[in-house]
Amino acid sequence: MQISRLLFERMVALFGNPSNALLPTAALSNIRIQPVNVPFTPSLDRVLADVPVQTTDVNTPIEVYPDRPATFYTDVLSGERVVEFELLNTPGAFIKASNGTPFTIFGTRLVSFDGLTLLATETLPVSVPLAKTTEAVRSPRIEFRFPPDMVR
Amino acid sequence: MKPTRLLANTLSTLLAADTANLANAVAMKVGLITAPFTPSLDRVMADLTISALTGLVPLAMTAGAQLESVDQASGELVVEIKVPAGGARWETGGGTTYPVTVYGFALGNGAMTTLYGTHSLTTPVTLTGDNQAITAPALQFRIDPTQVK
Repeated sequence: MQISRLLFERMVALFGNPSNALLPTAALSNIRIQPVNVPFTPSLDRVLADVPVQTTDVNTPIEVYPDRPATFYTDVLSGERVVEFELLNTPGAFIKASNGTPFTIFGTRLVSFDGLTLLATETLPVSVPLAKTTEAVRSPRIEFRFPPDMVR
Repeated sequence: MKPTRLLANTLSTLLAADTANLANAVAMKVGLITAPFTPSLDRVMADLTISALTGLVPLAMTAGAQLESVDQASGELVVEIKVPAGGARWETGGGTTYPVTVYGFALGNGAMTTLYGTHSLTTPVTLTGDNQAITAPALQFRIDPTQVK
């Protein structure tokens, strides 16, 4: 069926609101963004083992605000409905902690607070090695974009 | 971001169980659209001509959570509207003025004031007399999770 805008936006709202137990809610600890240090292609079927993270020589994972309503809007250029979550940490970047061995961040993964459930992935537009302390990669926005023609 | 299948599946599970809309305690209705229309995200109930003729009035579906599943062939998430006993079926009768042409089906709330979706018939069906029936196809919202980014 052709979905109405009212129902389409409701679907996205349900996805991004506390009714969705997988995303940040009052009942759940904040979820985390972690830096992935291997090349990968985002996919519905990615699993944790596909996207290992850089655990050393980098600042702590970036956390997403728990119990904080997501922002919903329609991108008028693309027509997409967008859900965006707010970062708890500032700055929202992965910063190299020492001048040790360079490493490259290829993307990010969104995981549950305990790190055991992979929720989403995203690649960076450009991947460059971080070589020195204070060099950083800024985390992409934590957003999901829903084109209306995804429902038929 | 590209969600995992686990997260993407919540699109259909939450939609099918949404008590404010599809899973409302007051059953949704499906009406026959009897004037030409073009399906669109921005259609609203006021754009459509819904039959109020004898035997062809909006039909109550089944209240509560709707059916929800994954189509293993296409990978789509499917929310299917539960039809009442006897099916989503209309039959003419009782002195209606014919002909009546059905162009599609409209899914709305119990009061038929809020439009949830439309289904357009590839070929409109014209009813020309009493004792003629029309049955709605499976009323499904099919969600392609690969398009979320």
